[in-house]
Amino acid sequence: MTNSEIHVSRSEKIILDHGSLQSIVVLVKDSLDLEIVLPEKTSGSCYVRFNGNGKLQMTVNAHMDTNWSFLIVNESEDSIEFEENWRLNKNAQLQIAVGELTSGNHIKSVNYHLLEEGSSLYVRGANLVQSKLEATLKAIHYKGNTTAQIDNYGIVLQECEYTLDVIGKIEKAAKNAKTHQISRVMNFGLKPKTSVNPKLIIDENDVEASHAASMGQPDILQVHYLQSRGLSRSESLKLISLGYLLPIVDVIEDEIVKEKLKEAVIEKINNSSLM
Amino acid sequence: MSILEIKDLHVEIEGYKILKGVNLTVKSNEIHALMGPNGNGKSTLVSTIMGHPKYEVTQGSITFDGEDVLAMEVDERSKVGLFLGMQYPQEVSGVTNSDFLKAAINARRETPISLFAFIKEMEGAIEALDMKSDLAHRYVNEGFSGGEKKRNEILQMLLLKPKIAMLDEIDSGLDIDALKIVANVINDMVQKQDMGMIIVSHYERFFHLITPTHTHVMLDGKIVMDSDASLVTKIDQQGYEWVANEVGVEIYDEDNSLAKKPISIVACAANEPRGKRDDKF
Repeated sequence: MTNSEIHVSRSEKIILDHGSLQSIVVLVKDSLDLEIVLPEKTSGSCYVRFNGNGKLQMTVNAHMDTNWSFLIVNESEDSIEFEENWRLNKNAQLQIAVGELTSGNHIKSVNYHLLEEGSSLYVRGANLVQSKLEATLKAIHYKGNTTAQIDNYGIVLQECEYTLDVIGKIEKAAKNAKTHQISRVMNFGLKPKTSVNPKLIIDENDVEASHAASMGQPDILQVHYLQSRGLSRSESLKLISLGYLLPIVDVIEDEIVKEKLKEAVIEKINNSSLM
Repeated sequence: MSILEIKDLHVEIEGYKILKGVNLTVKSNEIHALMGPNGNGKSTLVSTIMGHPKYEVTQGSITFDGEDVLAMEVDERSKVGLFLGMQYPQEVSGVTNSDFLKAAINARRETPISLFAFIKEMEGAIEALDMKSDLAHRYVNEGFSGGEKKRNEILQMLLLKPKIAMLDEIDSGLDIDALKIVANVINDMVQKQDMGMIIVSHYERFFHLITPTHTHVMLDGKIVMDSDASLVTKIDQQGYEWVANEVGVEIYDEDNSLAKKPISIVACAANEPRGKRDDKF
Protein backbone atom coordinates (compact mmCIF):
# COMPACT_ATOMS: atom_id res chain seq x y z
CA MET A 1 0.00 0.00 0.00
CA THR A 2 1.30 3.47 -0.81
CA ASN A 3 2.11 5.71 2.13
CA SER A 4 1.15 8.84 0.23
CA GLU A 5 0.03 10.03 -3.18
CA ILE A 6 1.40 13.29 -4.54
CA HIS A 7 -0.38 15.00 -7.43
CA VAL A 8 1.78 17.16 -9.65
CA SER A 9 0.42 19.50 -12.31
CA ARG A 10 3.04 22.28 -12.26
CA SER A 11 6.82 22.36 -11.91
CA GLU A 12 7.85 20.96 -8.58
CA LYS A 13 10.64 19.44 -6.50
CA ILE A 14 9.78 16.36 -4.47
CA ILE A 15 12.00 14.89 -1.77
CA LEU A 16 11.16 11.26 -1.02
CA ASP A 17 11.17 9.88 2.50
CA HIS A 18 13.18 6.86 3.54
CA GLY A 19 11.51 3.46 3.70
CA SER A 20 8.29 4.37 2.00
CA LEU A 21 6.32 3.47 -1.06
CA GLN A 22 5.29 6.76 -2.57
CA SER A 23 3.01 7.38 -5.48
CA ILE A 24 3.37 10.40 -7.74
CA VAL A 25 0.69 11.23 -10.29
CA VAL A 26 1.88 13.72 -12.90
CA LEU A 27 -0.46 15.61 -15.20
CA VAL A 28 1.48 17.27 -18.00
CA LYS A 29 0.04 20.42 -19.55
CA ASP A 30 2.19 22.24 -22.10
CA SER A 31 5.49 22.08 -20.19
CA LEU A 32 6.40 20.77 -16.75
CA ASP A 33 9.67 20.39 -14.81
CA LEU A 34 9.78 17.75 -12.11
CA GLU A 35 12.70 17.04 -9.81
CA ILE A 36 12.71 14.01 -7.53
CA VAL A 37 15.35 13.84 -4.81
CA LEU A 38 16.41 10.64 -3.11
CA PRO A 39 18.26 11.86 0.00
CA GLU A 40 21.53 10.29 1.14
CA LYS A 41 21.28 6.81 2.72
CA THR A 42 17.61 6.33 1.91
CA SER A 43 15.82 3.44 0.28
CA GLY A 44 12.27 2.71 -0.77
CA SER A 45 9.90 2.42 -3.72
CA CYS A 46 8.24 5.01 -5.90
CA TYR A 47 5.38 4.62 -8.36
CA VAL A 48 5.15 7.42 -10.94
CA ARG A 49 2.27 7.74 -13.38
CA PHE A 50 2.12 10.24 -16.24
CA ASN A 51 -0.88 11.62 -17.99
CA GLY A 52 -1.68 14.60 -20.19
CA ASN A 53 -0.14 16.27 -23.19
CA GLY A 54 3.02 18.35 -23.62
CA LYS A 55 6.65 18.35 -22.64
CA LEU A 56 8.00 16.87 -19.42
CA GLN A 57 11.48 17.42 -18.06
CA MET A 58 12.19 15.11 -15.16
CA THR A 59 15.37 14.86 -13.12
CA VAL A 60 15.90 12.22 -10.46
CA ASN A 61 18.83 12.83 -8.13
CA ALA A 62 19.90 9.69 -6.32
CA HIS A 63 22.32 10.77 -3.64
CA MET A 64 25.05 8.71 -2.02
CA ASP A 65 24.20 5.26 -0.64
CA THR A 66 20.62 5.18 -1.87
CA ASN A 67 18.69 2.11 -2.98
CA TRP A 68 15.35 2.73 -4.70
CA SER A 69 12.92 0.86 -6.94
CA PHE A 70 10.84 2.85 -9.42
CA LEU A 71 7.81 1.95 -11.44
CA ILE A 72 7.26 4.46 -14.24
CA VAL A 73 4.01 4.10 -16.15
CA ASN A 74 2.92 6.34 -18.98
CA GLU A 75 -0.88 6.41 -19.02
CA SER A 76 -1.28 9.20 -21.55
CA GLU A 77 -3.37 8.30 -24.57
CA ASP A 78 -2.30 11.66 -25.99
CA SER A 79 1.25 12.85 -26.70
CA ILE A 80 4.10 13.57 -24.27
CA GLU A 81 7.69 14.46 -25.06
CA PHE A 82 9.81 13.17 -22.20
CA GLU A 83 13.26 14.35 -21.29
CA GLU A 84 14.49 12.40 -18.30
CA ASN A 85 17.81 12.66 -16.51
CA TRP A 86 18.57 10.14 -13.79
CA ARG A 87 21.69 11.07 -11.79
CA LEU A 88 23.31 8.34 -9.71
CA ASN A 89 25.88 9.37 -7.13
CA LYS A 90 28.27 7.19 -5.13
CA ASN A 91 26.86 3.72 -4.40
CA ALA A 92 23.38 4.72 -5.57
CA GLN A 93 21.37 1.73 -6.77
CA LEU A 94 18.25 2.09 -8.88
CA GLN A 95 15.90 -0.57 -10.23
CA ILE A 96 13.47 0.93 -12.71
CA ALA A 97 10.47 -0.73 -14.36
CA VAL A 98 9.02 1.26 -17.25
CA GLY A 99 5.60 0.53 -18.74
CA GLU A 100 4.54 2.07 -22.06
CA LEU A 101 1.18 0.50 -22.75
CA THR A 102 -0.99 3.24 -24.24
CA SER A 103 -2.18 4.10 -27.72
CA GLY A 104 -0.60 7.53 -27.40
CA ASN A 105 2.12 9.05 -29.53
CA HIS A 106 5.24 9.64 -27.44
CA ILE A 107 8.88 10.67 -27.71
CA LYS A 108 11.30 9.74 -24.94
CA SER A 109 14.87 10.82 -24.34
CA VAL A 110 16.17 9.15 -21.18
CA ASN A 111 19.70 9.61 -19.86
CA TYR A 112 21.04 7.57 -16.96
CA HIS A 113 24.15 9.30 -15.59
CA LEU A 114 26.35 6.99 -13.52
CA LEU A 115 28.31 9.81 -11.92
CA GLU A 116 30.21 8.13 -9.12
CA GLU A 117 31.85 4.81 -8.29
CA GLY A 118 29.61 2.03 -7.04
CA SER A 119 26.48 3.32 -8.73
CA SER A 120 24.36 0.71 -10.46
CA LEU A 121 21.24 0.68 -12.55
CA TYR A 122 18.79 -1.94 -13.77
CA VAL A 123 16.05 -0.91 -16.21
CA ARG A 124 13.35 -3.23 -17.52
CA GLY A 125 10.99 -1.79 -20.11
CA ALA A 126 7.71 -3.24 -21.32
CA ASN A 127 6.34 -1.54 -24.41
CA LEU A 128 3.10 -2.35 -26.15
CA VAL A 129 3.23 -0.02 -29.14
CA GLN A 130 -0.28 0.72 -30.35
CA SER A 131 0.50 3.94 -32.21
CA LYS A 132 3.95 5.54 -32.27
CA LEU A 133 6.84 5.50 -29.83
CA GLU A 134 10.33 6.93 -30.30
CA ALA A 135 12.71 6.20 -27.45
CA THR A 136 16.38 6.88 -26.88
CA LEU A 137 17.82 5.33 -23.73
CA LYS A 138 21.38 6.18 -22.80
CA ALA A 139 23.54 4.92 -19.92
CA ILE A 140 26.62 7.08 -19.45
CA HIS A 141 29.39 5.81 -17.19
CA TYR A 142 31.51 8.69 -15.95
CA LYS A 143 33.38 6.74 -13.26
CA GLY A 144 34.72 3.24 -12.79
CA ASN A 145 33.01 0.33 -11.04
CA THR A 146 29.61 1.41 -12.29
CA THR A 147 27.04 -0.98 -13.72
CA ALA A 148 24.10 -0.53 -16.08
CA GLN A 149 21.76 -3.15 -17.49
CA ILE A 150 18.96 -1.98 -19.76
CA ASP A 151 16.50 -4.66 -20.88
CA ASN A 152 13.77 -3.52 -23.19
CA TYR A 153 10.95 -5.66 -24.54
CA GLY A 154 8.48 -4.41 -27.11
CA ILE A 155 5.45 -5.60 -28.99
CA VAL A 156 4.47 -3.60 -32.04
CA LEU A 157 0.96 -3.94 -33.38
CA GLN A 158 -0.16 -3.72 -37.00
CA GLU A 159 0.77 -0.50 -38.80
CA CYS A 160 2.37 1.01 -35.68
CA GLU A 161 5.78 2.64 -35.41
CA TYR A 162 8.55 1.99 -32.91
CA THR A 163 12.06 3.43 -32.91
CA LEU A 164 14.39 2.37 -30.13
CA ASP A 165 17.97 3.55 -29.69
CA VAL A 166 19.83 2.12 -26.71
CA ILE A 167 23.28 3.51 -26.06
CA GLY A 168 25.88 2.40 -23.55
CA LYS A 169 28.68 4.96 -23.20
CA ILE A 170 31.77 4.41 -21.09
CA GLU A 171 33.87 7.52 -20.62
CA LYS A 172 37.64 7.67 -20.24
CA ALA A 173 38.72 6.78 -16.67
CA ALA A 174 35.65 4.62 -16.04
CA LYS A 175 37.66 1.44 -15.49
CA ASN A 176 35.73 -1.72 -14.62
CA ALA A 177 32.49 -0.17 -15.81
CA LYS A 178 29.91 -2.67 -17.01
CA THR A 179 27.25 -1.70 -19.50
CA HIS A 180 24.86 -4.25 -20.96
CA GLN A 181 21.65 -4.08 -22.93
CA ILE A 182 19.05 -6.47 -24.32
CA SER A 183 16.43 -5.27 -26.78
CA ARG A 184 13.75 -7.62 -28.08
CA VAL A 185 10.91 -6.58 -30.32
CA MET A 186 8.10 -8.76 -31.64
CA ASN A 187 6.10 -7.45 -34.57
CA PHE A 188 2.53 -8.36 -35.37
CA GLY A 189 1.09 -8.00 -38.84
CA LEU A 190 2.88 -7.17 -42.04
CA LYS A 191 3.17 -3.41 -41.76
CA PRO A 192 4.80 -2.43 -38.46
CA LYS A 193 7.65 0.07 -38.83
CA THR A 194 10.22 -0.95 -36.29
CA SER A 195 13.81 0.15 -35.88
CA VAL A 196 16.06 -1.07 -33.07
CA ASN A 197 19.53 0.43 -32.82
CA PRO A 198 21.87 -0.79 -30.08
CA LYS A 199 25.10 1.19 -29.68
CA LEU A 200 28.17 0.91 -27.51
CA ILE A 201 30.66 3.77 -27.25
CA ILE A 202 33.73 2.77 -25.28
CA ASP A 203 36.57 5.12 -24.34
CA GLU A 204 38.31 2.99 -21.72
CA ASN A 205 39.98 -0.40 -21.40
CA ASP A 206 39.17 -3.02 -18.78
CA VAL A 207 35.42 -2.69 -19.15
CA GLU A 208 32.51 -5.00 -19.92
CA ALA A 209 30.01 -4.08 -22.59
CA SER A 210 27.49 -6.07 -24.56
CA HIS A 211 24.33 -5.70 -26.55
CA ALA A 212 21.79 -8.17 -27.82
CA ALA A 213 19.01 -7.16 -30.12
CA SER A 214 16.39 -9.12 -31.99
CA MET A 215 13.32 -8.25 -33.94
CA GLY A 216 10.88 -10.50 -35.73
CA GLN A 217 7.49 -12.10 -35.99
CA PRO A 218 6.25 -14.49 -33.29
CA ASP A 219 8.16 -17.76 -33.39
CA ILE A 220 5.98 -20.26 -35.27
CA LEU A 221 7.43 -23.18 -33.32
CA GLN A 222 6.56 -21.56 -29.99
CA VAL A 223 3.03 -20.95 -31.26
CA HIS A 224 2.82 -24.57 -32.45
CA TYR A 225 4.04 -25.83 -29.08
CA LEU A 226 1.37 -23.91 -27.18
CA GLN A 227 -1.33 -24.86 -29.69
CA SER A 228 -0.34 -28.51 -29.35
CA ARG A 229 -1.44 -28.24 -25.72
CA GLY A 230 -4.89 -26.97 -26.68
CA LEU A 231 -4.49 -23.19 -26.78
CA SER A 232 -5.91 -21.48 -29.85
CA ARG A 233 -3.56 -19.42 -32.03
CA SER A 234 -4.95 -16.24 -30.52
CA GLU A 235 -4.52 -17.54 -26.95
CA SER A 236 -0.98 -18.68 -27.78
CA LEU A 237 0.00 -15.28 -29.16
CA LYS A 238 -1.41 -13.57 -26.09
CA LEU A 239 0.51 -15.87 -23.77
CA ILE A 240 3.76 -15.32 -25.68
CA SER A 241 3.15 -11.55 -25.58
CA LEU A 242 2.52 -11.66 -21.84
CA GLY A 243 5.77 -13.55 -21.50
CA TYR A 244 7.47 -10.64 -23.22
CA LEU A 245 6.00 -7.93 -21.05
CA LEU A 246 5.07 -9.42 -17.68
CA PRO A 247 8.58 -9.95 -16.24
CA ILE A 248 8.58 -6.18 -15.72
CA VAL A 249 6.67 -6.85 -12.49
CA ASP A 250 9.67 -8.71 -11.05
CA VAL A 251 11.42 -5.37 -10.63
CA ILE A 252 8.73 -4.23 -8.18
CA GLU A 253 8.82 -5.31 -4.56
CA ASP A 254 5.41 -4.16 -3.35
CA GLU A 255 2.92 -7.00 -3.88
CA ILE A 256 -0.12 -4.75 -4.37
CA VAL A 257 1.57 -2.54 -6.97
CA LYS A 258 2.98 -5.67 -8.61
CA GLU A 259 -0.49 -7.24 -8.88
CA LYS A 260 -2.03 -4.01 -10.23
CA LEU A 261 0.61 -3.73 -12.92
CA LYS A 262 0.19 -7.40 -13.83
CA GLU A 263 -3.55 -6.90 -14.21
CA ALA A 264 -2.98 -3.80 -16.35
CA VAL A 265 -0.58 -5.62 -18.68
CA ILE A 266 -2.94 -8.61 -19.01
CA GLU A 267 -5.87 -6.30 -19.76
CA LYS A 268 -3.90 -4.40 -22.42
CA ILE A 269 -2.78 -7.61 -24.10
CA ASN A 270 -6.25 -9.16 -23.96
CA ASN A 271 -7.73 -6.07 -25.58
CA SER A 272 -5.10 -5.88 -28.32
CA SER A 273 -5.42 -7.24 -31.80
CA LEU A 274 -2.44 -9.58 -32.00
CA MET A 275 -3.35 -11.72 -35.01
CA MET B 1 -12.36 -46.92 -27.15
CA SER B 2 -10.41 -44.41 -29.24
CA ILE B 3 -8.84 -45.20 -32.61
CA LEU B 4 -6.15 -43.27 -34.46
CA GLU B 5 -5.90 -44.44 -38.06
CA ILE B 6 -3.19 -43.44 -40.50
CA LYS B 7 -3.61 -44.56 -44.08
CA ASP B 8 -1.15 -44.25 -46.97
CA LEU B 9 0.39 -41.11 -45.48
CA HIS B 10 2.84 -39.20 -47.66
CA VAL B 11 4.62 -36.17 -46.21
CA GLU B 12 7.13 -33.70 -47.61
CA ILE B 13 9.25 -30.94 -46.16
CA GLU B 14 10.55 -28.27 -48.52
CA GLY B 15 9.95 -30.58 -51.46
CA TYR B 16 11.72 -33.60 -49.93
CA LYS B 17 9.62 -36.73 -49.59
CA ILE B 18 9.99 -38.09 -46.09
CA LEU B 19 6.97 -40.32 -45.52
CA LYS B 20 6.14 -42.50 -48.50
CA GLY B 21 2.95 -44.33 -47.56
CA VAL B 22 2.60 -44.99 -43.84
CA ASN B 23 -0.22 -47.17 -42.50
CA LEU B 24 -0.77 -47.49 -38.76
CA THR B 25 -3.73 -48.02 -36.42
CA VAL B 26 -3.46 -47.28 -32.69
CA LYS B 27 -6.25 -48.04 -30.23
CA SER B 28 -6.82 -47.34 -26.53
CA ASN B 29 -4.63 -49.40 -24.19
CA GLU B 30 -2.20 -50.25 -26.97
CA ILE B 31 1.47 -49.28 -26.75
CA HIS B 32 3.16 -49.04 -30.13
CA ALA B 33 6.95 -48.92 -30.22
CA LEU B 34 8.17 -47.07 -33.31
CA MET B 35 11.79 -47.83 -34.11
CA GLY B 36 14.18 -47.22 -36.95
CA PRO B 37 17.48 -45.53 -37.79
CA ASN B 38 17.73 -41.72 -37.62
CA GLY B 39 16.24 -39.84 -40.53
CA ASN B 40 13.77 -42.50 -41.66
CA GLY B 41 10.55 -40.69 -40.71
CA LYS B 42 9.64 -41.53 -37.10
CA SER B 43 9.63 -37.95 -35.80
CA THR B 44 8.04 -36.73 -39.02
CA LEU B 45 5.15 -39.14 -38.50
CA VAL B 46 4.31 -38.07 -34.94
CA SER B 47 4.94 -34.39 -35.72
CA THR B 48 2.62 -34.56 -38.73
CA ILE B 49 -0.12 -36.15 -36.63
CA MET B 50 0.18 -33.16 -34.26
CA GLY B 51 0.17 -30.65 -37.16
CA HIS B 52 3.75 -29.34 -37.26
CA PRO B 53 3.63 -26.30 -39.58
CA LYS B 54 6.67 -27.30 -41.63
CA TYR B 55 5.37 -30.67 -42.79
CA GLU B 56 3.13 -30.92 -45.83
CA VAL B 57 0.81 -33.89 -46.26
CA THR B 58 0.64 -34.69 -49.96
CA GLN B 59 -1.40 -37.88 -49.84
CA GLY B 60 -3.28 -40.12 -47.42
CA SER B 61 -5.40 -39.62 -44.33
CA ILE B 62 -5.28 -39.42 -40.55
CA THR B 63 -8.49 -39.95 -38.61
CA PHE B 64 -9.23 -39.98 -34.89
CA ASP B 65 -12.44 -41.72 -33.90
CA GLY B 66 -13.55 -41.25 -37.50
CA GLU B 67 -12.86 -37.51 -37.59
CA ASP B 68 -10.44 -36.03 -40.12
CA VAL B 69 -7.40 -34.95 -38.12
CA LEU B 70 -5.79 -33.22 -41.10
CA ALA B 71 -8.74 -30.83 -41.28
CA MET B 72 -8.28 -29.83 -37.61
CA GLU B 73 -6.24 -26.91 -36.27
CA VAL B 74 -3.38 -27.94 -33.99
CA ASP B 75 -5.28 -26.96 -30.83
CA GLU B 76 -8.33 -28.94 -31.97
CA ARG B 77 -6.13 -32.04 -32.29
CA SER B 78 -5.09 -31.53 -28.69
CA LYS B 79 -8.65 -30.99 -27.53
CA VAL B 80 -9.94 -34.21 -29.14
CA GLY B 81 -7.34 -36.13 -27.15
CA LEU B 82 -4.04 -36.23 -29.07
CA PHE B 83 -0.76 -35.36 -27.36
CA LEU B 84 2.84 -35.19 -28.52
CA GLY B 85 5.69 -35.20 -26.02
CA MET B 86 8.30 -33.46 -28.13
CA GLN B 87 11.90 -34.39 -28.73
CA TYR B 88 12.92 -30.73 -28.47
CA PRO B 89 10.37 -28.93 -26.28
CA GLN B 90 10.16 -25.18 -26.89
CA GLU B 91 11.17 -22.61 -24.31
CA VAL B 92 8.63 -19.85 -23.71
CA SER B 93 10.32 -17.01 -21.87
CA GLY B 94 8.31 -15.03 -19.37
CA VAL B 95 5.43 -17.54 -19.22
CA THR B 96 5.30 -19.61 -16.05
CA ASN B 97 4.53 -23.32 -16.18
CA SER B 98 1.58 -22.71 -13.95
CA ASP B 99 0.03 -19.99 -16.17
CA PHE B 100 0.65 -22.11 -19.26
CA LEU B 101 -0.82 -25.31 -17.83
CA LYS B 102 -3.82 -23.56 -16.33
CA ALA B 103 -4.54 -22.02 -19.75
CA ALA B 104 -4.11 -25.42 -21.42
CA ILE B 105 -6.45 -27.15 -18.94
CA ASN B 106 -9.04 -24.36 -19.23
CA ALA B 107 -8.88 -24.54 -23.03
CA ARG B 108 -10.60 -27.94 -22.84
CA ARG B 109 -13.14 -27.07 -20.13
CA GLU B 110 -16.38 -25.15 -20.27
CA THR B 111 -15.78 -23.56 -16.88
CA PRO B 112 -12.29 -22.61 -15.66
CA ILE B 113 -10.64 -24.94 -13.17
CA SER B 114 -10.63 -23.55 -9.62
CA LEU B 115 -7.30 -22.39 -8.29
CA PHE B 116 -7.50 -24.97 -5.48
CA ALA B 117 -8.20 -27.86 -7.87
CA PHE B 118 -5.43 -26.73 -10.21
CA ILE B 119 -2.83 -26.45 -7.46
CA LYS B 120 -3.83 -29.89 -6.17
CA GLU B 121 -3.48 -31.46 -9.61
CA MET B 122 -0.23 -29.68 -10.35
CA GLU B 123 1.31 -30.63 -7.02
CA GLY B 124 0.20 -34.23 -7.47
CA ALA B 125 1.84 -34.38 -10.92
CA ILE B 126 5.04 -32.75 -9.65
CA GLU B 127 5.21 -35.31 -6.86
CA ALA B 128 4.49 -38.26 -9.16
CA LEU B 129 7.37 -37.19 -11.40
CA ASP B 130 9.66 -36.31 -8.50
CA MET B 131 10.23 -32.80 -9.84
CA LYS B 132 11.30 -29.69 -7.97
CA SER B 133 8.50 -27.89 -6.18
CA ASP B 134 9.38 -24.53 -7.77
CA LEU B 135 8.48 -25.90 -11.22
CA ALA B 136 5.12 -24.11 -11.29
CA HIS B 137 6.80 -20.72 -10.99
CA ARG B 138 9.56 -21.29 -13.52
CA TYR B 139 9.22 -20.12 -17.11
CA VAL B 140 8.23 -22.87 -19.54
CA ASN B 141 11.35 -24.98 -20.19
CA GLU B 142 13.67 -21.97 -19.80
CA GLY B 143 16.87 -22.93 -18.03
CA PHE B 144 15.68 -26.54 -17.73
CA SER B 145 18.16 -29.37 -18.10
CA GLY B 146 17.50 -31.89 -20.88
CA GLY B 147 15.99 -34.32 -18.39
CA GLU B 148 13.79 -31.65 -16.80
CA LYS B 149 12.39 -30.69 -20.19
CA LYS B 150 11.45 -34.29 -20.90
CA ARG B 151 9.85 -34.73 -17.50
CA ASN B 152 7.96 -31.51 -18.04
CA GLU B 153 6.50 -33.01 -21.21
CA ILE B 154 5.28 -36.00 -19.20
CA LEU B 155 3.88 -33.65 -16.55
CA GLN B 156 1.84 -31.90 -19.25
CA MET B 157 0.61 -35.27 -20.51
CA LEU B 158 -0.41 -36.23 -16.99
CA LEU B 159 -2.43 -33.05 -16.51
CA LEU B 160 -4.00 -32.95 -19.98
CA LYS B 161 -5.06 -36.62 -19.90
CA PRO B 162 -4.92 -37.42 -23.64
CA LYS B 163 -6.60 -40.43 -25.24
CA ILE B 164 -3.69 -41.17 -27.56
CA ALA B 165 -0.24 -39.89 -26.61
CA MET B 166 2.89 -39.86 -28.74
CA LEU B 167 6.31 -39.58 -27.16
CA ASP B 168 9.22 -38.67 -29.40
CA GLU B 169 12.49 -39.89 -27.88
CA ILE B 170 11.26 -38.82 -24.48
CA ASP B 171 13.81 -41.14 -22.85
CA SER B 172 16.85 -39.27 -24.23
CA GLY B 173 18.27 -37.04 -21.52
CA LEU B 174 16.71 -39.05 -18.69
CA ASP B 175 18.92 -40.92 -16.24
CA ILE B 176 17.94 -44.44 -15.21
CA ASP B 177 16.08 -43.34 -12.07
CA ALA B 178 14.13 -40.69 -13.97
CA LEU B 179 13.39 -43.24 -16.67
CA LYS B 180 11.77 -45.54 -14.10
CA ILE B 181 9.69 -42.69 -12.67
CA VAL B 182 8.49 -41.65 -16.13
CA ALA B 183 7.75 -45.27 -17.09
CA ASN B 184 5.67 -45.74 -13.93
CA VAL B 185 3.57 -42.68 -14.77
CA ILE B 186 3.07 -43.83 -18.36
CA ASN B 187 2.13 -47.38 -17.37
CA ASP B 188 -0.31 -46.02 -14.81
CA MET B 189 -1.99 -43.77 -17.39
CA VAL B 190 -2.32 -46.63 -19.88
CA GLN B 191 -3.87 -48.91 -17.24
CA LYS B 192 -6.15 -46.43 -15.46
CA GLN B 193 -7.09 -44.06 -18.29
CA ASP B 194 -6.99 -46.53 -21.21
CA MET B 195 -4.53 -44.26 -22.96
CA GLY B 196 -3.10 -45.49 -26.26
CA MET B 197 0.51 -44.68 -27.16
CA ILE B 198 3.08 -44.35 -29.89
CA ILE B 199 6.56 -44.33 -28.40
CA VAL B 200 9.57 -43.41 -30.51
CA SER B 201 12.78 -44.61 -28.92
CA HIS B 202 16.13 -46.09 -29.90
CA TYR B 203 16.66 -47.89 -26.64
CA GLU B 204 15.58 -51.32 -25.47
CA ARG B 205 15.91 -50.33 -21.82
CA PHE B 206 12.89 -48.00 -22.13
CA PHE B 207 10.83 -50.82 -23.61
CA HIS B 208 11.85 -53.07 -20.72
CA LEU B 209 10.05 -50.64 -18.45
CA ILE B 210 7.11 -50.07 -20.79
CA THR B 211 6.24 -53.25 -22.63
CA PRO B 212 4.92 -52.51 -26.11
CA THR B 213 1.92 -54.39 -27.43
CA HIS B 214 3.13 -53.69 -30.97
CA THR B 215 6.54 -52.90 -32.46
CA HIS B 216 7.07 -51.28 -35.85
CA VAL B 217 10.22 -50.58 -37.82
CA MET B 218 10.38 -47.56 -40.14
CA LEU B 219 12.81 -47.54 -43.02
CA ASP B 220 12.93 -44.98 -45.81
CA GLY B 221 9.60 -43.38 -44.90
CA LYS B 222 7.55 -46.56 -44.52
CA ILE B 223 6.65 -49.00 -41.79
CA VAL B 224 8.30 -52.13 -43.16
CA MET B 225 7.92 -54.57 -40.28
CA ASP B 226 5.35 -55.13 -37.51
CA SER B 227 5.66 -57.49 -34.58
CA ASP B 228 5.42 -57.65 -30.78
CA ALA B 229 7.85 -56.73 -28.00
CA SER B 230 10.29 -59.44 -29.06
CA LEU B 231 11.26 -57.34 -32.10
CA VAL B 232 12.70 -54.66 -29.80
CA THR B 233 15.17 -57.13 -28.32
CA LYS B 234 16.16 -58.48 -31.72
CA ILE B 235 16.85 -54.96 -33.03
CA ASP B 236 18.85 -54.13 -29.93
CA GLN B 237 21.02 -57.17 -30.57
CA GLN B 238 21.25 -57.16 -34.37
CA GLY B 239 20.52 -53.61 -35.56
CA TYR B 240 18.49 -52.76 -38.68
CA GLU B 241 20.55 -54.25 -41.53
CA TRP B 242 18.77 -57.60 -41.32
CA VAL B 243 15.38 -55.83 -41.47
CA ALA B 244 16.46 -53.93 -44.58
CA ASN B 245 17.73 -57.12 -46.22
CA GLU B 246 14.60 -59.07 -45.29
CA VAL B 247 12.14 -56.53 -46.68
CA GLY B 248 14.36 -55.35 -49.52
CA VAL B 249 14.45 -51.65 -48.53
CA GLU B 250 17.47 -49.42 -48.39
CA ILE B 251 18.18 -47.67 -45.08
CA TYR B 252 18.05 -43.91 -45.50
CA ASP B 253 21.49 -42.54 -44.68
CA GLU B 254 20.77 -39.37 -42.74
CA ASP B 255 24.37 -38.14 -42.65
CA ASN B 256 25.05 -38.44 -46.37
CA SER B 257 21.68 -37.15 -47.50
CA LEU B 258 21.50 -34.14 -45.25
CA ALA B 259 25.06 -33.19 -46.07
CA LYS B 260 23.98 -32.54 -49.65
CA LYS B 261 21.28 -30.05 -48.75
CA PRO B 262 20.31 -29.17 -45.19
CA ILE B 263 16.63 -29.01 -44.32
CA SER B 264 15.57 -26.47 -41.73
CA ILE B 265 12.77 -27.27 -39.33
CA VAL B 266 13.51 -24.34 -37.05
CA ALA B 267 12.32 -20.77 -37.36
CA CYS B 268 13.76 -17.37 -36.59
CA ALA B 269 12.66 -16.27 -33.15
CA ALA B 270 12.55 -12.83 -31.69
CA ASN B 271 12.65 -14.34 -28.27
CA GLU B 272 16.07 -15.79 -27.61
CA PRO B 273 17.09 -16.96 -24.14
CA ARG B 274 17.46 -14.09 -21.74
CA GLY B 275 20.97 -13.09 -21.00
CA LYS B 276 22.41 -14.30 -24.28
CA ARG B 277 24.82 -11.79 -25.70
CA ASP B 278 25.19 -11.32 -29.42
CA ASP B 279 28.33 -9.27 -29.07
CA LYS B 280 30.83 -9.19 -26.27
CA PHE B 281 33.80 -6.92 -25.89
